[in-house]
Amino acid sequence: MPKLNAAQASELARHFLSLAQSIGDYRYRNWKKLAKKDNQQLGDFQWSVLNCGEDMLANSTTLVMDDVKNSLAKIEDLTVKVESTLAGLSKIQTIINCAAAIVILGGAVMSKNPNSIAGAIEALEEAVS
Amino acid sequence: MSKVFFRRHHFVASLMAGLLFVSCADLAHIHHYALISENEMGRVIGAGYDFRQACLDRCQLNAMRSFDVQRGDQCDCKQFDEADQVTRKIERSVRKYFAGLKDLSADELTNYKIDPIADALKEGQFGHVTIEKKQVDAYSSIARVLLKATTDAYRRNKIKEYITQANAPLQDLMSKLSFILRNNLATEIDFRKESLYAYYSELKQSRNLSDYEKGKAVGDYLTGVNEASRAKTRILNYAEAVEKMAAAHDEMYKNRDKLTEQAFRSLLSEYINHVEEIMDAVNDLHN
Repeated sequence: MPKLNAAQASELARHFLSLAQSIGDYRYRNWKKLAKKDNQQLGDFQWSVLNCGEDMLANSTTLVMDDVKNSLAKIEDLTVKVESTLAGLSKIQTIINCAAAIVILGGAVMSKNPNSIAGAIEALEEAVS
Repeated sequence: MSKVFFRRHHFVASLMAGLLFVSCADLAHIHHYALISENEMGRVIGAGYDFRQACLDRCQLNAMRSFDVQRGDQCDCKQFDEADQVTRKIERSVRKYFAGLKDLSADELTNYKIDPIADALKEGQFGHVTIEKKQVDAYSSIARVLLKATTDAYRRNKIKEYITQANAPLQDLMSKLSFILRNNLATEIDFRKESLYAYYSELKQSRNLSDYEKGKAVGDYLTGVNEASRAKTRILNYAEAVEKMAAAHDEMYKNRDKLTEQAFRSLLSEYINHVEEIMDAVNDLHN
């Protein structure tokens, strides 16, 4: 027997709701005519139908997962790409800072001042880290 | 000589103007759309009514009907918890995509600080080269414009590429989310209302209740139905907001080659306003 899909399960649940309403309406209309035992049995059946319908709705939602597996994988993969692009664009500031530190180091080397060179190397290390 | 000078400066001025134009990525409307969508998806997750709640409500009513009291957990909600997990999985994935789109379209992303370069390029004599202060300023300005133009163009292309790739799976996920909210979760509330009706109708027929108790039962029934109706309205509003967000993304996809045009910006703003209006209505229902 083929398995129900999400839409069919949801549709079936709504039929269960209508069925439970019809049973209820019959019971309330004929409350005095029905034997206590019959009324009790009908009542239990009405509540079972309501419970089954609610289970069916939860089941329908779980079945949605079968339909969206591919789309979920695609959107999650794409989100990783977006995050990677973001990381790449954020790195540019680090590159600018590194370039500036290299220029300063070049100037310090040309000045032949050991203190300036040491300071520039420290600044470059900071920019790279 | 002056003609050459004029031409050169005219060229530089045109280039700068062109670059400045290109550098105005004008992705604010996309950023706003993604920001609203990310926030509102978060509110769907925290809607206050889910399948587990439906299970607990049902369990309580069943127990009340049969006067059944058990020690420990009385309600088996495994199936309902699984339904919530599926719903949240879709919501979270879509929300993360919107968060990425929001960050990628944020203007500050490419507002790089060029000051370290300008500070490094000091005026002075460097071998045969003399660098003046106004040249340092000019170089850093050009660098800023060039960098902004290049990165913004890259960003625009990437956004276009991602919107194109995301649209089909996103439409699928959003339509399924709307299906879950509209067809399943909202219908759980119809079941809740019917169960309340059945429970209180049985009570009403009981000969063991006094008139006062029957009146009290009617009051309890009306309170329960009213709460359920409000929860259903909230869920249907969420579904409508999800549908509007999906429609707006589809418009972005269809207009992906004119994302910065005024007509498209107005269209997208309309969608955003609709989503905000719907979610304001949801907020009012919470109060």
